[in-house]
Amino acid sequence: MTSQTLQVQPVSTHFEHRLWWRVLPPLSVVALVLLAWEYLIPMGIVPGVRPQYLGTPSGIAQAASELARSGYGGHGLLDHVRASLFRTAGGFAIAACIGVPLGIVLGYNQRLGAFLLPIFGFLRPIPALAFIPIVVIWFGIGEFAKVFVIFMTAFLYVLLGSVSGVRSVPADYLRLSRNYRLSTWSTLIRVVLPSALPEIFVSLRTAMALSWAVVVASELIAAQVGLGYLIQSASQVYAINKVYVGVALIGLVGVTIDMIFLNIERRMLHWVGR
Amino acid sequence: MSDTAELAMPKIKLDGATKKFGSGVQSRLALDQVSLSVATGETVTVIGPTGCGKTTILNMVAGFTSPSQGKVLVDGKQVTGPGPDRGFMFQRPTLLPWLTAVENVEFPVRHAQLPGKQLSVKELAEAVDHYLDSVGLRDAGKLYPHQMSGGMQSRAALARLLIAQSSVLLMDEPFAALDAQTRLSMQQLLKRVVKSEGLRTVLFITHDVEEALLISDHVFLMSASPGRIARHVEVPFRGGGDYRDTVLRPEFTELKHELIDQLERLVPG
Repeated sequence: MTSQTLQVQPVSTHFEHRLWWRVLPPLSVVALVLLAWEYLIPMGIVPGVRPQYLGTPSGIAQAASELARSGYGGHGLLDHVRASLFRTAGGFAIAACIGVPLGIVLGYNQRLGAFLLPIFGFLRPIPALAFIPIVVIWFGIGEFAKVFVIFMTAFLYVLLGSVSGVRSVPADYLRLSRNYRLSTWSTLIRVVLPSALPEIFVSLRTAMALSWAVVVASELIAAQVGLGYLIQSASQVYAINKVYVGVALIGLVGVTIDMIFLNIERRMLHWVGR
Repeated sequence: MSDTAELAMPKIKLDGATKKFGSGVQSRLALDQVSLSVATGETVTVIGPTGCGKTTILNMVAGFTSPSQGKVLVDGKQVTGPGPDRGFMFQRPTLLPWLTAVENVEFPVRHAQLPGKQLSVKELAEAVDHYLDSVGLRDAGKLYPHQMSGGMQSRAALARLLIAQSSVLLMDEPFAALDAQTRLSMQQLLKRVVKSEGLRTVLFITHDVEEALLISDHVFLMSASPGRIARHVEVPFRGGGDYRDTVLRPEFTELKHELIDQLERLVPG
C-alpha cells in the first residue's frame, strides 16, 4: 500500500454532489427521449413497425387519464389492480402459511426431509407457467386455477428457502438449546425460527415477486378482470397506449410490494448484518 | 448420604474414557483411556495441543457425545445426555443476536427445563440484575449483542451460564478469542464469581498455559493422536490472591515454562 492511498479526501463540495446535478442530467435525458418519441417516431423513422403501434407520450398520458376516469372492460382501474392483488395475496398467503412451518419442520428433522425434499427440489426449477396448462385441465379457468398457480410458485420457493434457513442455524445455538433441554417446540420457536428468519424473509420476498409475475401471466390466459387481462385485451384492439399504462402499473405495484416487504424486514430483523 | 461422603465423591469422573470417531479402517482414536476426577468446588483445566481431544472430554461430560468405552460420571451417575445441571460455555459467546443482554441472560430460566422452583417475574428480574451486575454489565442490559464488544459478549455469556445454577460449569476455551487485557479480566472475574457462588465445579479447556495456572486447582496436560493424559499438575498457587503477585513468583514462571516446553514436545510432527 502506498502512502497516497491513506490520504483522507476533504469533504467534497464538487458539483457532482449537489442535488440539482444528480437530478437534472438524467431528467434531461428522459425529456429528450420523450420529445423524440412524441415528434420523430410518428414520422415513421422506425423501420418495420407502424408508427401508430408505437404510441406517443401524449397518447399514454391521455390513456392513463381515461383509464383512471372510466376504467376498462366494465371495471374501474382500481378493480383491475385489486383483482390481481387479491389473487396474488391469496396464493402467496396460503403458500407462506404452509411453506414456512413445513420448511422449518423438514429442515429440522433430517429424516422427514429426506423423504420429501428431493421431490420439492425437482419441482422447483419447473417454471410456474409450465403448470398453467395442467392447472387449466384440472381446475378449468376460474379463480381457483389462478390462485393455485400462484400457490405452486410461491410455495416451493418459500418451503425450500425455509429449509435452507433452518439448516444454516449455527450448531452452537442448537447445542445451547440441548444443554438447557429445551423442548422441541421451544427450540423451533425460540432458537431455530428467529435464526432462520433472515433467509426465510429473502425467500418470501423472492416468492412475492415471482407471484406477482405469475399472476399477470395467468390472467393473460383467461380472465375478465385484472392487470394481465387489461394489457392482453387492450393489445388485441391495438390500444398500445393503454397497454403501456397497464405494464407501467404492473411495475409500480411490484416495486411497491417489494418496498413494503423490505420495510417489514428491516423492522423485524433489526439485528441482521450488524 | 452425609456431607463428607458427598464431598469425598468426585463431582466429575472419567474412568478409562475412550472415544473413537468413524468405523472400520476410517476410524480415528480421539481419546485413549482417559481417567481423571474433579472434586466438588474445584476448578480443573485440561490443556493440550490441537486435536488432543480436550473438547471431546468436555462434550462427553456435557452429554453431547458418549464414550466408545469407559465411563463418564457426574455425581456418581453415568452421563446419558445433556442437562442444565452442567452449564456449557462455548468458544464463542453464542448469544442469540435477536435478544438483548437481559433477554439472553434470562433465556435459560425462562425457557429451559431447570430443576428447582420456578422464579416469579420479580425474582427473575432480580436474578438477572444480580448476574449482570456481577459480570460488570449493569448498564448494558438493553444492548443487543451486535452493540457489545467481544469482552462484553463474553461477560453476558458468563452471566447466562451462572444464572442457570448449574453445579458444573463446562468451559470450552471461552476466552480464547479475546484480547489479552480482556482475557485477563475475564479470568479474574471467573475466579471471583465461582468462589462467591458456592460450590461450583469447573472443567475448563484451554491451550493457554498461563490461563490454566491462573484459574485452576489442577491442570491435566494432554498429548495428541490419540489423546492421552500426559501429566497431572496440582497447582501450588491455588486460590492464589492477586494476579500480579502470582505471576511474579519465580515458581509460577518456572512451572509455566516447564509446561510450555512439555506442550511443545507433545505437538505431533
